[in-house]
Formats: sequence, C-alpha cells, structure tokens
Amino acid sequence: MIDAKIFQEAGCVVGVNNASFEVQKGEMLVVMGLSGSGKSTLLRCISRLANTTAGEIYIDGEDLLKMNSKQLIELRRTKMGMVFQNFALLPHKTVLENIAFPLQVKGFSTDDSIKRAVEMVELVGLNGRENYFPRELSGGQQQRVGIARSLAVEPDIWFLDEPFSALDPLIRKEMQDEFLRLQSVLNKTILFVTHDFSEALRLADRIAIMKDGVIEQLDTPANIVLKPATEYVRKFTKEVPREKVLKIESVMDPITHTSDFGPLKVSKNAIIETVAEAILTEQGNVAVVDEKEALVGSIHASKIIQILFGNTNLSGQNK
Amino acid sequence: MISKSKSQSTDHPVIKCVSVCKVFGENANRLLKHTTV
Repeated sequence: MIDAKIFQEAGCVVGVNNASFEVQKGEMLVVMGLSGSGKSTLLRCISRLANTTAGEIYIDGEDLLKMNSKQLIELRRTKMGMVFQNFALLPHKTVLENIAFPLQVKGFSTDDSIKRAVEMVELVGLNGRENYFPRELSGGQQQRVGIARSLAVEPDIWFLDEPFSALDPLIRKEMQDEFLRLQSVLNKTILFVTHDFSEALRLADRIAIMKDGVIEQLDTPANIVLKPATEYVRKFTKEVPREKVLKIESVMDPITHTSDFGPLKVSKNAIIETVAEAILTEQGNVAVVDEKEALVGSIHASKIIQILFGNTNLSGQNK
Repeated sequence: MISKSKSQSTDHPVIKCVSVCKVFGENANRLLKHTTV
C-alpha cells in the first residue's frame, strides 16, 4: 500500500493503490466506484492501455507487463475484447462494416468478415439494421454494435468500461438483460466497470468496490450487502432491498433431522423476491434444492418476513 | 429471471493482479521507491 498523501504533496495522483485479485474463467467481476475512484484506471492497467507504476499482472498465466509490443498486439487481437461508454464506432461505416472492421484488421477476407459480422448482428438483435450508419441508430442500438464488434473476434476476456452509462434507464435495464443473456451463452471472463451499484448487484458474480484507488471490498453481491467491510461500502448497501439481491442460499437454514417439508421446493439460486410469495403461503418449512434437485437446506416463511420487513441481521447464515 | 453466469475454476486464474499501483505524475516512479509502506 502506498501513502497517497506523500504523492499528492509531490504533485502526483494515485489512481490505483495496491490492487490484488484474481478473476477465474467464466467469471464476471464488476469494478464499482464513483467518479475518480480509480475503476477505469484499473481496467486500463489490466488491458495495458495504461502502464502500471508498480505490481504484477498476469493474463492466462503470462506476465502482461513483460510483453513486448508485438505480443501485446497479438494478445489484444486474439484474447481481449473492449467496449466503451461512448461506443467508439466509426461514423462513416455501416453497422456491418463496423463489426467486420476488427476482423479485417486481423487478416480476415472481406467475405469472411462480413459473414461473421452478420452472425454477430443476429446475436445482438440488430437484424434489419445491417446497412444503417451509427447516426441512424439509438444509443442502445449503437452500443449493441459496439458489443457485437468486440465479440466478433471471439475474445476470451471482455473488458467493458461503463458500457450502459450513456443510456437512459429503461434501455439500460434492457441492455443489462441482453448482456446477461449473452454471457449465459458465451461464458466469457469479464471485467465490467460501472458507477451504478444496482447495475453491479444485478450483473456481478463478484464486485470490487473502489474508493480513492483502493479496493475497499471484493466479494459476492450477497456478502457485500450482508457484510459490508467498511463504512463506505455500508453506505451503498444501506438502501438496497435485500429481497431483490439475495439468493435463497444466502438465508436458508441447514437441514436438521427434525426438518419436515411441505410439497413446495425452491431453488437455492432463486432470488428471494421471485419466490417470496410462494414461501409465504406455506405453513411449514420449504425445501431448498440445488441444480440436481438435491435437498440442500430449508427456509421458513418467518425468515422471508424478516427480510421483507426490516430485520437485516441475517449475516450469520449467508454464504 | 435471467440467471447470472456460473464461475468456473481453472488451474490458474484468467486475470491475476498482484499489488497493482498506478500513479500519475512525473515523479511517481522515483517517489514510489521511497514511500512504499
């Protein structure tokens, strides 16, 4: 950890301070923080759009900071996809041409790149707009082109820097749904930057909350809400409706030999809000099951009432 | 409800950051040598 004050006195600004973490294959890590917290700087360091001052970064086990320009270009062309807030589309090229462009840079023939671009257009739901120019599209549609373009080269790692921040709330929600759908199909390793805490909760497998260049907490959405590590994180979680964020497995009770279940079963992965009504109509314990329908826990209507009506002291049972 | 993706563990992480620092400013590197705590 470096002392930010000393650097400030010397006219320097600490963008990222001692960030250490790992992202596993297929995981979506959302880096969340307010303006100036260092989240975009961290993403730029990991994609090497900015040089780091100290530390080590490994991509698939390879030392990113020791790569030469040629290796870096190859890495970006083959493994990394990037999406930016301002879409960064080429205004004089059509939707298809924008999506095909990185493929052509990579050496694909025009025919092959257009063929691939057509597939991408379909993937992001822009059929019928292949020959539109960016100016003829809405913000949401332009970002779909940005997403399609970044996916065209089939990157393993996807960097997204506030991709939905310029969109109005309704379109943003639509794009988040679309993004989750894409991820469920593509299973990329994702680093997603946002200043929107509810967006982070909605999308993330894990969230890193940053303040003044420091990662204040890195954890699952459930643990961030139930066990905020610092006062700063607590401020974000205070107003979050727990039933909209937490999964049943976060609040279920262990099975005991006296557990007796009614006919209703709920998935441990169900968001509480989606099954609360059904559980509240049951008299006794409700069985909680995993993906293979195996019994993994128990939940009672009284627990749901605690969550819905204010008792937030549930952290003893969360996972 | 659209479900989130499932994390999959591998032998090594896809991204690994170790004590990454980024300081903006001309004297950043020189200062860093003397101020790491």
